[in-house]
Amino acid sequence: MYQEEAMDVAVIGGGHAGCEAALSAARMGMKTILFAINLDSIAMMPCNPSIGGTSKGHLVREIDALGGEMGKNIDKTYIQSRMLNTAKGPAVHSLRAQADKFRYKEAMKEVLEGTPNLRIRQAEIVDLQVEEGRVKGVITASGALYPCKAAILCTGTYLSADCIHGEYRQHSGPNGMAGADRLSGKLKALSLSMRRFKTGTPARVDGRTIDFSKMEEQKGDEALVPFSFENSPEGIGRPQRSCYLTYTTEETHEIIRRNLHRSPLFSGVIHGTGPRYCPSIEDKVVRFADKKRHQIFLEPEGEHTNEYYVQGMSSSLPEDVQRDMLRTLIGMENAQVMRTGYAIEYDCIDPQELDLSLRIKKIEGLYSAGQFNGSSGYEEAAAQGIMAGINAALWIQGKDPFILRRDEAYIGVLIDDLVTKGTNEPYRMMTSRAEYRLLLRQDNADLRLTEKGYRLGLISEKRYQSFLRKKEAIENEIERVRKVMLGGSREVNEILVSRGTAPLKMGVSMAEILKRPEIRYEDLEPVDPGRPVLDPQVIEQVMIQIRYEGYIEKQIEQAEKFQKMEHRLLPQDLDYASIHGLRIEAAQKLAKLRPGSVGQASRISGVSPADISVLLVYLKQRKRT
Amino acid sequence: MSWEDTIAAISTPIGTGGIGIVRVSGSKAAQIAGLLFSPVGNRKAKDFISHKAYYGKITDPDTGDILDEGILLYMKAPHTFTGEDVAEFQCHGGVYLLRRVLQAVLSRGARLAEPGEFTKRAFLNGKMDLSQAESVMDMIGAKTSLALKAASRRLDGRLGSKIQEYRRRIMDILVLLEVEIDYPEYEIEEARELDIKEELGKLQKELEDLYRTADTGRMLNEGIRVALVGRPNMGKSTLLNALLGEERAIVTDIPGTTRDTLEEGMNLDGIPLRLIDTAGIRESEDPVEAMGVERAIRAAKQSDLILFLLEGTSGETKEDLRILREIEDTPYLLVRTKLDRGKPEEAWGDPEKTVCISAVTGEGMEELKERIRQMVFCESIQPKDGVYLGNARQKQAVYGAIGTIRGAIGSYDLGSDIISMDLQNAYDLLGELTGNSTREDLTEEIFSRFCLGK
Repeated sequence: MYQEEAMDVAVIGGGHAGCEAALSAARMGMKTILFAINLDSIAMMPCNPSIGGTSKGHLVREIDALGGEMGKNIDKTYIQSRMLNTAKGPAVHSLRAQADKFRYKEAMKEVLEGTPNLRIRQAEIVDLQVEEGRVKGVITASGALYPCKAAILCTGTYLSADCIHGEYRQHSGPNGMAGADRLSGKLKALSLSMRRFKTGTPARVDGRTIDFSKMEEQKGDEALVPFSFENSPEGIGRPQRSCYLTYTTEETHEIIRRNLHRSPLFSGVIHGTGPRYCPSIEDKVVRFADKKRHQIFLEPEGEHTNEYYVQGMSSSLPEDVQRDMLRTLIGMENAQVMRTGYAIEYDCIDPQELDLSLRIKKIEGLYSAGQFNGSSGYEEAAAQGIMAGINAALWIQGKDPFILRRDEAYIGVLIDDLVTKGTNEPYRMMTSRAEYRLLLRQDNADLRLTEKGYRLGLISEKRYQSFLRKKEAIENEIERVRKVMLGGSREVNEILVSRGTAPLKMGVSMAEILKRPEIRYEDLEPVDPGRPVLDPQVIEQVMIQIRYEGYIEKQIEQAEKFQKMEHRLLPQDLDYASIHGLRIEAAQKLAKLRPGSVGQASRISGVSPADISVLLVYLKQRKRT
Repeated sequence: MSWEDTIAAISTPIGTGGIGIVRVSGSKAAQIAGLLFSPVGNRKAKDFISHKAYYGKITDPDTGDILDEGILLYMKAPHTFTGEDVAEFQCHGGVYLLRRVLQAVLSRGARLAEPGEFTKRAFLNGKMDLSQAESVMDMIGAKTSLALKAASRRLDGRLGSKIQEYRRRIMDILVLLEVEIDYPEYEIEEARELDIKEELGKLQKELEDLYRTADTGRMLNEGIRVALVGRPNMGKSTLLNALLGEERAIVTDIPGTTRDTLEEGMNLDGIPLRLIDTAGIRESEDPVEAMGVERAIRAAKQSDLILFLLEGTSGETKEDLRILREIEDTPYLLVRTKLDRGKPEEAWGDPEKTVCISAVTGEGMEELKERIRQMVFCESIQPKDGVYLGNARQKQAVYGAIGTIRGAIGSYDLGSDIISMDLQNAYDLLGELTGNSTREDLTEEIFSRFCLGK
C-alpha cells in the first residue's frame, strides 16, 4: 500500500448521488475526489432513459434550487419534455424529460472535470481506514490509500452485485460494469447493518425492427418548461423525439405463465427484496391475472442510437423467453433484442443507521447517499447526494448540519422517511408521501430553497439577485391585485360572461375575480390599465398563490404546528431506558435511532403519542433541575 | 394531535352528584364560552371577568336549544389549573346533558382532551411541583393504555363499524385520485367506474344522517353493556327482573346481535345500562351445552361489564371455572345469588369482586348497584367519563369529516390534489382511533390494488 495526496472529501461512486455529492462538496471549497470503478459509468442511466416525473420532477427542481446539477444537465441533453398532470392542480404538476442517456453522462462528466477542487479517479474502493470511530481514508483495490476527512458512500447497485436472467447469474454490476465485491464485507465488519435489495430493468430493442405505426405516438410539449430555474424556455428549445404506447397481448401472458418455472423470482433463486412499484412483467401477470393487457411504453435511449427502452417489461426471465414474449407485443412482431433485461441484487445499508444529515451514526465523518441508502431512482439518489455532500463539507468546517424539514422540501420527506422509518424495499418518492404537498410544489422550489442554497455558497450572486427580483415582483403583484378594485361595469361583466362566469353586481378586488377557476390572468388585461409587464413565471406564482390561498393557508397552519415539535430538540445523550413511564418498546427504539427532535421521535414506528407526552414531561423536568 | 389545541372534557364523575362540570382549556376557551353561554342581565360575553362566576343559560349554538341553566367560571391564564385560559361550565349532573354541552363545546373548535391531558398541561406550564413529574408520566401511560383498550372495544360496536365503512369508502376515492396523480400515464379502469363527485355527495349525506341520529336514543341504545352469565338456574332471570322491575326505567326489547342473547335497557341513577341475558346457557341441554357456553362467552367478552352468577350454596363446576378463565380480562363481578336460601359455605374466586344478593328479599341489591356504579365510574371499565369519551370522540370525528368532505365537494373544480387534501383530513379524522396514518395506508393500498410501474 502506498499513500496518495490527502483530500477533504472522498466520494465513493460516480452515479447520480456521487456526482451531486462531489460537486456540492467541491463547490463549498472542499478538496474533493470522486472514485468510480469505470469513469465511463459516471452519471450512467442503467435503467429508464428519463429524468423527472411525478414527485421526482419535484426533487430535480429542488436540487436545482439548491445549486445542484441534475436539472441543468437534463436541460442540456433532453430529447423530449412534458409537464404531467396539468389537469390536476398545481401541487402535482410534474415535469419529466426523456434523456439522451449517452449525452447525459458525457455532459455531467464534462461538468465534473471543469469544477475546481474536484478530481475524478478510476478505482475500486475496497476498504475504509477507520481509527477510533472516525474515517481517516479510503483504500483502492490497487493498494493506494487516500487520506480524507470525510467519505461519502454512493455505491448504487455495485456492492456484491449479481445480475440474473433465467438460469443465468452473472456476477457483475449494472449494465455489464464490474461490481465491487470487497467493500460490503468491510462495512459489515464495522458493525453496520446491511441488507440485500433487488431491482430490475427491461430489455432494449432495435428501433428499426419496431412497427411504430401500430402504436400510439406520444409527443413532447410545445410549450417548454426547463428543469433549471436558471434556464429560459427559449434557451433550451430543440427538436423533440416521440415515445410510443403499445400493449401486451393474451399471448404474452400465456408465454409468461408457461415459463414461470424458469423465472428466478418464482423459483426462489432471487432472495433480495424488490420494489412493489417496479414489478417485473411476470410479477404483474401473476398478481393481476384478470387483467387482459398491460401498457408498454417505448422510449428512445438517445438521439444517435436505435436502442429503445421497453418500459413495463422489466423481467428476469431467461433470454429466449424474453425474446419470445417481446415479439407478442403489438407492433413488436419482428423485434430484435439488443440488451437483455435482468434483475440485479446488491448490498445496501439499513438507512436507520443514518441521522437526518445522512451521516452514518456509528462512524464519524462517514456519509452515504442513493441506492446504498435503500432508495431507488436517479432523482432520489441525486437529492441525497447533494445533501450528503453539503453536510460532509459543513461537518469538516465545524458547522451545523443542513437539514430540510418535511414541510420545506420533498428532499426532507425523502430523507426523513428513510432514516426515521426505514424501508423494507427500495424506496421510491411519491407525491402522496408528502403531507404538505400544496406547499411543496415544483413551481415554487426556487422560492423555497434558493435562499438556502445561496447561504451555503452553491448559488451564484447573479442568480441570487435575479431570484430576489422575481420574489419581489411576485409580492408586489399580489399586493397590487388585492388592492385594485373592479366595479360591475359593462366592460368587466362582458369579460366575465364571455369566460362563462357570473357578472358582478358590486365592486370587488381583482384578486377575488382571479380566484374564479374560469378566469385567466390575461383575461383581465383590458380592464387593468395599471398592470406591469411581468415574466410568465411571476404570473404563474401570483395566480397559484391567490387561487389556492385558503388551502395554502390551511397547510401553512398545519406545518407551523408540525414545526413546533421539530424544534424541540432531544439531547443525544438521553438515557431512554431510565425515563420513568416510557414503554420498553419505545425506549429501545428511541435508544437505537436517537432522533434529533421530539417531532422525529413521534414518527418512529412503535413510539406512541403517550410516549411522546412522557418525553415532553421528562424534558421539562430535566430543564427545571 | 397538537399541544396548541384547545381541549375539553367532562371533568366530574358522571352520574354521581348533582353537579357536572365541562372543562375547557386553551386559547379558545373564552371564545367558546361566549358562543355557548349567555349570562343573565344583558352582560356581553366578551366582558367576562377572570375568576368570576356567572349565572346564565347554556345554549347549543347549532340548534339554538337551551341546554341548561348553570354557572360559567372563566379563568384567564396564567393563574389557572392548567396555566392556560380555562372556562368551566357547571351544569346539572345528568349524563345526557353533560354530553350535549361537551358536544357543543367540541363543535366550536375545541378537541376532546386525551387521558390525563389537563394534568400534563398543568405540568408543562409549570403549575405542578417537580416531584410530581413521575406520577404525571405514570398517569399518562396508565390512562392511555386503558383508553386504548376501551377504544378498540368501541370500534367493534355499531358506530365503530360504520366509521370503518366510511373510512374504506374514502380510501377507495383517495387511492384512485392518488394513483392517477402518481401514475398519470397508466389507464386506471376503476377510475371510470366511480363517479367521485356523486360518491362524495352520498358520503356527506350519510355522515350527516349518522351525526344527527348519533345522539337521539343512543344513550339508551348503546349504554354500558352488562352481560349476565352463568349456568342455568343460577337466578339470572330473577336478577334481571329485579333490576328492571325495581328501577321502573324505560324498558325496551332490542333483539340481540347474537342469536341467543336478549338485551334490555335500563337506567341506573342516570347511567344507561344494557343488560344482556345470555340465553345460550339458560336453554342449553347437555349435547349443546358446550356451544351455548361458547356463545355466552363471546357475548360476555364484547360487553363492558360481566355479572357472573353463581348460586350461593352451589359448588362450582368445571363450566364455572371455564367461564371465569374466559372473562378474566373483562371487568366482572361474581354475584352469589339466592342468599335467602343460605350463605355461601366457602368463598370462591376473588373475594374483592364478590357480591352476595337475594333478588327475592332485596338483600344485597343496593350493594350490587353501588358496585356497578363504582365499576363504571371509578374502576376498571373507564376512568370517569370513559364510555362517553369514546363516543364523543367518534362523534367529533364524524363532525370534522363532514366538514372536510363538504370542502372537497366545494372545491371539486380546483383539482384532484385539493380534493385529496380534504379527503386525507377526513380519513385521518375518522381514523384517530385506529392507529395507521393515511399515508401508510395509501401507499399500501396503491400497490396492492393497481398494477403499476416500469
